[in-house]
Amino acid sequence: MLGSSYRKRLEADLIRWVDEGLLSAESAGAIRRSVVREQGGVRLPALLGLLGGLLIAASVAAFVAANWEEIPRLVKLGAILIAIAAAFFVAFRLERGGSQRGADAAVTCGVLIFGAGLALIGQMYHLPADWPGGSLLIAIGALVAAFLMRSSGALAIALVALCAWSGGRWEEAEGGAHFGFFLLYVPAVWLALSRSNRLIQHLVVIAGAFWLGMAPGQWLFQNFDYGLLAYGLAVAVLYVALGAIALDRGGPGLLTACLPWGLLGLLWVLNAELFRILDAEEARAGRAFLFVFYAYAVALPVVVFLAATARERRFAWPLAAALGLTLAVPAVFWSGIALGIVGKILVASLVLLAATALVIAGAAGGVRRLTMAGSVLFGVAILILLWQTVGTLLDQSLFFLVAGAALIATATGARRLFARLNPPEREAA
Amino acid sequence: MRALSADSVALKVPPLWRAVVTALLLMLGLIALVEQRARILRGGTEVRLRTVPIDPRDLFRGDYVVLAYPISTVEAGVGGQDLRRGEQVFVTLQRDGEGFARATGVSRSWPQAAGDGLVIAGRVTSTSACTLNGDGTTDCSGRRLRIAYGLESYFVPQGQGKAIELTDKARIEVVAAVSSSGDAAIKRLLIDGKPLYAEPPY
Repeated sequence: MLGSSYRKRLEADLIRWVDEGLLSAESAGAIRRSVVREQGGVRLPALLGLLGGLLIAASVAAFVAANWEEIPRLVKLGAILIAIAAAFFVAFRLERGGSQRGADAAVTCGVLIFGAGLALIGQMYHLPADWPGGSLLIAIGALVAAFLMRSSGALAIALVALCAWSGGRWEEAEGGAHFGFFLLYVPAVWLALSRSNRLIQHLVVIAGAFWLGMAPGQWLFQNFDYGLLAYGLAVAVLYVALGAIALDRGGPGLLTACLPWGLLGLLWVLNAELFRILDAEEARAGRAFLFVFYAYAVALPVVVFLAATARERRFAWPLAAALGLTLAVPAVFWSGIALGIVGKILVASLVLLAATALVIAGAAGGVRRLTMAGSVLFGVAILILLWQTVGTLLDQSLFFLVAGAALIATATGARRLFARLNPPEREAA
Repeated sequence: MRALSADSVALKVPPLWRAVVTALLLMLGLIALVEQRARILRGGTEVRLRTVPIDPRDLFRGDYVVLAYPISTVEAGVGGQDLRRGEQVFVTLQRDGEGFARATGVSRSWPQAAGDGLVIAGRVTSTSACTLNGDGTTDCSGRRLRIAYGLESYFVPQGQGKAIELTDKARIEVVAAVSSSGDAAIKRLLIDGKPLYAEPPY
């Protein structure tokens, strides 16, 4: 699937290439036709259809909320059933007519009506107020529709409902990981693997992160422990590494969708770690509970795998270095030196080095997200360091001077370093 | 690999059949919920319950009254000491002199020696519940379980929840139907022994 921003960039490039004589007008026309073919025609009718479907589903939901007593409940039940049948009949007609996106919109509408129907039946027949149970039923219904009708909209609903069910049961039990999640998540991943829809791929990745977030157990969140930051950091590293491996080796879109979410987690947690080590109250070590070990045991080998099997080393090696440096940050806290000036300098250096390595990996591999993530991490880290100083202001000044000199030295040698790692000329040949 | 992809598997079935099967499965799911409820109301054993109603308002589902019962709080006793929140439990009910149900035991599995008592299934929502003494004071000593039976909400026409809330709780009672497997459903809501709402099976 091609994003609209890519198409706009491509169009601008095509005009420029034709003007510069790099490409003939005929070849540019052929590329445009190929892009349109891949895009599968105009999306507007399907998009409007989906919006219309959502409005109809909202109408059913408002009908439920009104608790309309004038109509006998069997008639209301019948209306819901007829609406579901009508939605799938429309979906069938559209699919037969060749409009897969229109069919998808109709199926999505049908599943939303099914969800609203569940609420209506719960209200009419005084079913127990068990919203996780209701979410489970919606997730199962949506998965069936997503599979049989090849609907991405239904799959998106299934993923959201699945998280609501699992989160609800996890919250009720006040226990550890809710393994029932995988009964529906695995089929959802199987369905997602055959879809090129980017929203679905991101939802699958977010749902996975949602479960990983809940897995350590509710008690840890109720009695917050800084070990959770180490766990979050290791999970974020795993996500970034998986996304990078997929990018490097042309893996499935599902894995490349891990990259932005991993980077987001990495930025957030690394800055939190930097912020708290400079605060005398918050620079506590935190416990390395079992899930931290699990997360490290998975993340570390994946990072090593990324570095060892990289096709484009000048992208993968700096990234693996950034991830390795990231994983070392909690170790500084556990070593017991976090409260001293050495610990502060170590964590600040690790964060700045990780940020720089991310920028290098992004620039070398042409992955803008990595460059942006590294730059944001670097910028926010500098702001934190200016706000909460490392030692005295003089120490701070010395720290920035050394860090700046090291960066300039790296920049000077960067060209030679990249050329040694993976010469682009050789790749092109 | 491509043969194992979900879409390739689905495409082996004609579109009409896929649409019919999907719509039927979703519709049957809804009908099954209604039928499951109707079966309890038709064939379940009736049991009278005192209530303690309050009135929240559900933004999505209109008005409903939230009901609590004396049997909602159960002494953990011997069989319930290791029960955890979220677990399914079976509570044995006996009728008191006035015919109202009171909980006499709780266990993780179906009690073998229920005698002439009735067994109702529930889910533990708290393992440290307090109870209200006769003099109005709260007693939080000992280990008490708060248990939900699926009888805790009753939907009423919009605007009527408040009227029920303002009624003296001692005047309100619920008659529930309990199936042979312990599932329960509200059958009637009464004030001063007179039916206010009665549930038809469908």
